[in-house]
Amino acid sequence: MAEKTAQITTEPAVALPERFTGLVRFSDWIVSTEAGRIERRLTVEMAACREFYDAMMVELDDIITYLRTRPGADPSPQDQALLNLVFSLHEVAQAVEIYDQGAVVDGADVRLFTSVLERGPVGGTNG
Amino acid sequence: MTEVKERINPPLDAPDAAEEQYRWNRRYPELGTGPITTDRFLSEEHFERERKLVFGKSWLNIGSVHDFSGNGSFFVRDIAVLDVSLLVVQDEQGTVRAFHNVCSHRGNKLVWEKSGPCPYLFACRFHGWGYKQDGALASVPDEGEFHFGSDDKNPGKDGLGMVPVRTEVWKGFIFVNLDASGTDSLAEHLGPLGESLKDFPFDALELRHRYDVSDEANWKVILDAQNEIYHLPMLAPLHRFLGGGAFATNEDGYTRLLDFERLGLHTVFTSDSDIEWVDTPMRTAVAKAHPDGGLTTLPIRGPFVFHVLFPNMVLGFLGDFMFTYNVWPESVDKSVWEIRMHFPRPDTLADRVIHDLMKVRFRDLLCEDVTGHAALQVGLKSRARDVFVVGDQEVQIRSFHQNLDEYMERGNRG
Ligand code: FES
Ligand SMILES: [Fe+2]
Repeated sequence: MAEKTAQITTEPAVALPERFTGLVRFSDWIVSTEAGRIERRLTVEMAACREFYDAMMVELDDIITYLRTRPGADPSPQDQALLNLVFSLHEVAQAVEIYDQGAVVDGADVRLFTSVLERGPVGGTNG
Repeated sequence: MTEVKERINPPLDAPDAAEEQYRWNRRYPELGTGPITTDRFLSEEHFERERKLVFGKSWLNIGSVHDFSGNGSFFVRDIAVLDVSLLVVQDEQGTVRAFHNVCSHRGNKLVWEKSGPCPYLFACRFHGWGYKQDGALASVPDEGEFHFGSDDKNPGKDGLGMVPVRTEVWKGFIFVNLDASGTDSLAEHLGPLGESLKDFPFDALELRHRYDVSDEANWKVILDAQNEIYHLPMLAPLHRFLGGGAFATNEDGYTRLLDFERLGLHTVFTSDSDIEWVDTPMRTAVAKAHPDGGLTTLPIRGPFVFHVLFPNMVLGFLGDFMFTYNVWPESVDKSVWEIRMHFPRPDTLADRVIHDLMKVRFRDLLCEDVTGHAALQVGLKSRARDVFVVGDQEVQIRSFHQNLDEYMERGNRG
């Protein structure tokens, strides 16, 4: 078993854009780091992952249509929260659509793949 | 639409071309059809020759200008296979220089931080000698007690700067060459590959993600496993899904290279995708809501493009997404697989969704590969066979190993 390198952390609640406040019941999925989103994908039960996936699929068209109207740089905190929610969907969809479980089947621990740019100063890390 | 009756250059994926048996061997008969030796992935002796004759002599990509936090910043690059630590500096004017990260006093590793803005002087922790961004020794505590320039055995202070390493920047990619006596330029090394990408707008892309993955395999096992798409329909669930048509396959479901070219020491192959291929429900829904999000705007030579820059770099494109690999040997059977992902600046937040989708899929795909690399190493290590065979759809691998052998032979003579 690979050792756990990150824990699910509860982030301070961030409001979603007004028209998507119906999704607030999924606010645990508003996670600002890749490591945190991967951790939820790996540890939240599949039934809950599916529930999140199903609910997001219903809203997806509206969400993307809305995000298409928002400039690509400097999102508001509400828009960033919505993005982070969608990014969690991306992780969960791998579990639901490809693997039927959180972990990569016949693969390594996906926690190996958390961007080092999220971890502070980077150099040539080999050696 | 007007029917194009005669095309001077028929599309490379025309079915007849794709199904031509031994197509790549016909194009490059000099590569032969022989097997690949097992020993080259296992033997300490072979690894030692690679260390000396390849990594010690070749231009090596150590990152890009994206790794700086701006003008007047630095990063440290340790290269285990060469037992060197480099200090790489972008000065206030934007000039990039690399030095041995070594203090001229008594040899301490000079900078211990990984990266950051340049301090006023790079100060050694041991006795405080201070160096400028251009490497010059600027300050020596208790200087009067040293014998600088007193005779020809004692260099003057101006001869005690950090030792520079040959450094060149191509399209924002930083290369060093640790062979101080070498004379070949980076442009010569890149040759036709550099030429083929000389107008590519790398400026349009920004670095978003970087993964440094420990990989229990010889560096060439990793490169080879990435440098073919024959395994796609087989290896693991996501590979199989994408092998169903995200990468073009023939009627039997086997991938076919769209094109393959040898470019001096380097190679490039491309792959198409099947038009009828249907993505997952979530990705299909996103694509429907944001139809222009996945359009390719950069001038790439195929839907999937994979360059191997000799010896250990990969530069690839999947539409507007650019990835690079640097495979760094740590020992004969252990490597660090450094993966960087680049995307265009997003016009809208919907573009960021598209980019994250690409990242997550690609990352999981490589996560499947890591297990494959380790399994290959285990199998090779058993030395059950002295050689392994390579098919025509793996011509890239054949080319890489031939280039490697020839490079080492030349190095031995020279
Ligand atoms: S070793 Fe660096 S100042 Fe002495
Ligand atoms: Fe693969």
